[in-house]
Amino acid sequence: MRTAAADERLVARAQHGDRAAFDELAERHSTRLRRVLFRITRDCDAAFDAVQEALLRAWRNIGRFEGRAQFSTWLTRIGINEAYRGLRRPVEEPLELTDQVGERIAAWGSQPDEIFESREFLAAVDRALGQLPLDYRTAVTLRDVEGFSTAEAAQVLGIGERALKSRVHRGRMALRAELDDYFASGYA
Amino acid sequence: MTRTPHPMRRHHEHCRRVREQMSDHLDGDLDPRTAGAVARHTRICPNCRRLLTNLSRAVAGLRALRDLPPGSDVSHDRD
Repeated sequence: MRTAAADERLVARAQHGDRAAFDELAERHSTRLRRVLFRITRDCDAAFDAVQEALLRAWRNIGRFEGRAQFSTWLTRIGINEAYRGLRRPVEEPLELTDQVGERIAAWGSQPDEIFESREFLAAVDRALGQLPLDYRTAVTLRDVEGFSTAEAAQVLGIGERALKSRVHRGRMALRAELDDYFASGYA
Repeated sequence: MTRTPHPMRRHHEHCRRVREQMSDHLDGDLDPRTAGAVARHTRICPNCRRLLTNLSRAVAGLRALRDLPPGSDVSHDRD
């Protein structure tokens, strides 16, 4: 809980106008926030913009943060609101449903086929995640991809734990259905 | 007079209930008695067993995405 305690100290300083303290908070939490918002928006630029907007809003409103939730929970909630706002905004080009996942995949499995299966499988999972309705995608991203607890994810989204569990379950079931062909092909 | 439901209908009703509980089962959020009932059902019902297995694989895949930085594409990178 060193992180939470350190966050509290930084928040207290930021609430007294210490911009450096706020910048440190941003440094600590913006990477995870960007990951969450990328999974939701499916677009690097949109995620980056939402993170910047979220940090700006958080700085402007840090005086109103009462510490009832962790700072990271509060910031994630602001970020998701910004991402949703961006998704609702009319855009000239539709958002790309990319299947971008990363480089550390190479460490998966020891045999070339296993590595390929893992890469292919994870790319399929990421694509399927992108096909989920927004509410399910957000709940599954928080709970399963980013590892928020049920209570934390519910707090981020401002809903009850039962509602969160229901979204996660329906999202997982829909994602599994999207992957049915993959499973039927004999993966694993 | 109360009619006993057809065994297949009872089985399908059980399947429906178990499927609703699968996420809680994977998350370890069920009480031991309910978890035992889910485990027993999935042992005897091949459809629910397959569904639970695939759901578990899908969740494992989602958790694996966490470590992957967004913004690069592995789907076409086999080398």
